[in-house]
Amino acid sequence: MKRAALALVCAFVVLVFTQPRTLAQEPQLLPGVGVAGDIRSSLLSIAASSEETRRVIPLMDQWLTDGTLARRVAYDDPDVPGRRHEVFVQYHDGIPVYGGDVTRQTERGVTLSIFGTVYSDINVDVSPRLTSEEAIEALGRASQSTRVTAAAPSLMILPTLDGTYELTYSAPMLDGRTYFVSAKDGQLVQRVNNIKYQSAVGSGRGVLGDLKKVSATQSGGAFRTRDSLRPATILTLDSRSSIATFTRLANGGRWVDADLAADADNNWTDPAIVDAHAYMGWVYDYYYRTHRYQGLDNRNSPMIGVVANSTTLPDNAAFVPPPYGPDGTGGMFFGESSTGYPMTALDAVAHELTHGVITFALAQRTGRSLGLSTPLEFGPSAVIVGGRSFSCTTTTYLGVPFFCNNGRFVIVSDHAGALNEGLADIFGTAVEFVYETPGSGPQRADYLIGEDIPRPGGFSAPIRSLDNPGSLPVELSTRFRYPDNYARRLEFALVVSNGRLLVSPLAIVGGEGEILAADDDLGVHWNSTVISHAFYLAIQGGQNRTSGRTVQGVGVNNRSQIEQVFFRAIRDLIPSGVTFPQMAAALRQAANDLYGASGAPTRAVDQALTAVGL
Amino acid sequence: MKRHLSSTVALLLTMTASSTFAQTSGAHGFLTVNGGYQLTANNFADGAVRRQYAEDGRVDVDYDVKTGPAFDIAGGMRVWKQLGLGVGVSRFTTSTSATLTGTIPRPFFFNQLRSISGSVAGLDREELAVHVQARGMLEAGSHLEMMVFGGPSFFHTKQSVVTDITIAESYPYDEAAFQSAVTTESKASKIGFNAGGDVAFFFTRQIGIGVTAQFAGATVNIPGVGGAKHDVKIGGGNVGGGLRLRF
Repeated sequence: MKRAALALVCAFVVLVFTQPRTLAQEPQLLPGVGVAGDIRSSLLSIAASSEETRRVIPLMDQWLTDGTLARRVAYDDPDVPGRRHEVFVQYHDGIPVYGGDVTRQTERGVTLSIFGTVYSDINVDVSPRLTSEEAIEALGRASQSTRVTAAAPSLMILPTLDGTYELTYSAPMLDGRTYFVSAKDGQLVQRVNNIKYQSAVGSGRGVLGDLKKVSATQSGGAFRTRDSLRPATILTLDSRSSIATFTRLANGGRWVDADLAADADNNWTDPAIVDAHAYMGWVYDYYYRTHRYQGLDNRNSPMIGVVANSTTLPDNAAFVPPPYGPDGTGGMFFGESSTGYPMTALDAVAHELTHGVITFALAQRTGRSLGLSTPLEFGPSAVIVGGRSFSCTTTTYLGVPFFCNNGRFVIVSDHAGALNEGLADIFGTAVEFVYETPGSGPQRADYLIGEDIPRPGGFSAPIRSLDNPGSLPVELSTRFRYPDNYARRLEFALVVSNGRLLVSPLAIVGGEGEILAADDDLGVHWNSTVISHAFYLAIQGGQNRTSGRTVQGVGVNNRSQIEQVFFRAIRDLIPSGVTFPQMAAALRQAANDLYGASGAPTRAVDQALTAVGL
Repeated sequence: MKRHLSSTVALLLTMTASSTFAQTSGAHGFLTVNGGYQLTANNFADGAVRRQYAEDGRVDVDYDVKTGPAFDIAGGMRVWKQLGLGVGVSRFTTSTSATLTGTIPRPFFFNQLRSISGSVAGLDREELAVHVQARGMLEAGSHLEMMVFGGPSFFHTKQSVVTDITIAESYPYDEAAFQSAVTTESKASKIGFNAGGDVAFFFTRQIGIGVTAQFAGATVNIPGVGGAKHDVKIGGGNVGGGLRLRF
C-alpha cells in the first residue's frame, strides 16, 4: 500500500557497532570508500497545524476502513470537557507494526489533532518460517539470556534501517532488553534497552540529615516500608542483603515481606531507605495534586522501589518496566555510589518514577512504552576530528565504510529515548520546586539534576543542567557538551558492515566529530537537554545561547501551567516512537488545548520550542 | 472557671440553744427538704498533647457544666442550747457539653498541622455529697427560725470526659475533621466543706417552709485527654427552699 510521505524520514537503528572503540586506537578513521544508499520514507503525520491535520483526516478514514489502523482505546479528556482521545495501532495483515500508532483528539466529532506514525509500503510475508519454540531458542541465542515471562514471543513487523520491513519475533529477556529476531531465520534484527538509567555521579558524603516521615506498617513485630496511606501502596524493598535478592527482584521474581525494609521501633536509621521511601510518596503526591494522575499507571497499582548497593547498581538509579521488576510489574531501583552514598536524591527519585509514568501512560494508550525512535538524518559531507577533515565517502572506521547519502554522513540518535530522559528531568525538577525552597545548595529547588547526591567533602557536581545545558560536558573526556538547541544534538554516523547498517562511535555535532567511548544508548541522556531546556525557558524565560532567541516565560508562579502542558503531551498526545519534531508539535497542541492560542503559556511554549530549534 | 453550687440539704440535729426557742417550740429535732438550684457553673478545661503520625498535635476540650436544679434533704437535732448537729445529702446532675479544638499532624510531612474543631454532648455529671454540719439555731418568736451551719462534706462525683478523639481524613490529608469522641466516666471522691444559712417560717408548731443558701465545694482529680489527670471543681453555691418539719 503506497503512502505519501509528509514530513520526516523515520527508521530504526538495528544494532550498535560492536567493534572495540577506544580513543587509544589510532587511527580509527581511515581513508576508504563510503557506501551510497537510499532511504525510503515512511509516513509520519504531525499535526503541527490545522492545515496538516485536515490533510491527514481523509487518510485516517482510509486507514480505518482498510484495516491499517485499529482502535485500541478511547477515553474522555481529563482536562478539557468535551474532548475525546482515540488511539489507533497499525497492523499489516493482522500483525502489529512496531512503532506504528496514532492518537486522535476530537471535539464533538471534529478532529482537532492527530499525532503518530503510520509506516507505508509494507510488503512482508506475514507467515513465519520459525515456530514459536524455534523463536524462543533464537531469542536465547541472541541475548545469551532467557525470557522474563513464559508467554509466547510476539510476532511483530519491524521497520528496518533501510526502509524495508521484517517479520520478527520479540520478547523481553532477562538482560533487561527486548530482542527482535527474524521470523524467517532467527537472526537478531533489533534490540531495545528497556532499563531507563539515571546517570547520577556517585561518591557521597553521607545523608543530608533532614528529618522526614516514613509511612510504614507494622507487622511481625517490626515496622516495614509499606505505605498504605496513599491510594497506591508504596513499597520500598531492600535488596542489599545479597546479589541474588537484587537479581530476583530485578528480573520479575516475586517479592516477599522479608524484602521490605524493616525497623524495630519505627525510628528509621537507614538514610537510603528513608529517602527512597519518603520521596516516592512525595512524587506520588506531586502527580496526584498537579496532574490528577494516580500512581505510575493512573490506576493506583502498587509502586515498588528497590534500594540496591554499589555492587548491584553502582553510581546509578533506574526504572525497569514490566515484565521486569518485583513481581514483573516494573520498579524503581536506587543504587549507591562506590563510596556508599545512596542515589536517592529527590530529583533522582522523581526522575525514575517519571520514567514509570511515561512508560505506563504510553503503554495504556498505544500498547507500547516510549520506545526507540531513530529517524535517519543527513549530516555533513565531512567532519573535523582532531583538527583533520574526514569526508564520508573517503573514510572508514576501523576499516568499515561509513554509510553516505549523496556524499553526506547518515547520522542517527534516539529521539524517543532522549525525550524520555528529558521529560524525566523536567518532572524531577518540577517535584523539587514543590517541596524545596528555590535557591542553590543542598536541598534547594533548582534546574540541576543530581546535585544533591553527596560525596566525600561536599556534594556531587550536577550531571545535567536545564538552565544552562552547555555548562556541562556529556562526558568528562569529550569536548562535546549537553546541547541547548536541537541543532547542537549529538548524532552518530552509520557504517555498513556485511550489508547491514550499524551505528559507529563517531559522534557528530554540526561539522565536528569525535570518537566517543560510549554512545549513551544513542545519546538518550546527552540529547535530553534540548527539550528540558525548552521547559526551563518556557517558565523562566531568557535567551537561548545557541539561537539567540529570547523567550518570555510564564514566570515562577505559573510554572505548573508549563508542567500541565508537558504532562498532557505525555498522557494524551505523543506516539510511542515520538521524535523531537513530534514532541514539539504535541507540546504546542497541548498548550493550545489548555490555554488557547493566545494564552501566555501557549506563547511561552511556542517561543521556548522555537528558541531551542524545534 | 465558674464554680457551681451543689444543692445541699442539711439535716440538722439541733440541740436546744435558745431557751426562747425551747420555750416557743419545744422541738428538738428537725427535717428539711429542699428543691434548689445550683448557681455555680463549674466549667473546666482539659488539654493535652496528642501524638499521631510521629508528631505531636494537641487536643483541648472545654467542658460547659451548666447550672441546674438540685435536691437536698437534711435532718438533725439540738444537742446543746442553740447548737445542733445534722447530716444532709445533696444530689446534682446535669448533662455536660464540650467544645473541642485541636491540631492534627499530617501523615507525610512535619510541621503542617491541621486544625479541627467539634462539640460533644451528653457528657453526664453527677455530684453526690454528704454534709456533716454543726448548726447554730435561733428562734425569733414562735414562727420564725434561723440557722447557720457548716462542716465537712464528703463528695463523690461522676463525670463523663473525653479521653481521645477519632478523626475523619482521607488522602491527600489536607484536611482533618473531628469525627467522634472517645469518652469514659471518671469517678472521684474528695472531702470538702460546706457553709450556709437557713430561714424558716412555721405555720404550726411542726410544719413550715424555708429558704436556704449554702456553699459546698471540693476539687477532684480526674483523668482526661490522653489519660492525664487534671483538677475539676465540684459543688459551689446553691439556693433552695422547701418543707420544714420540727418535732
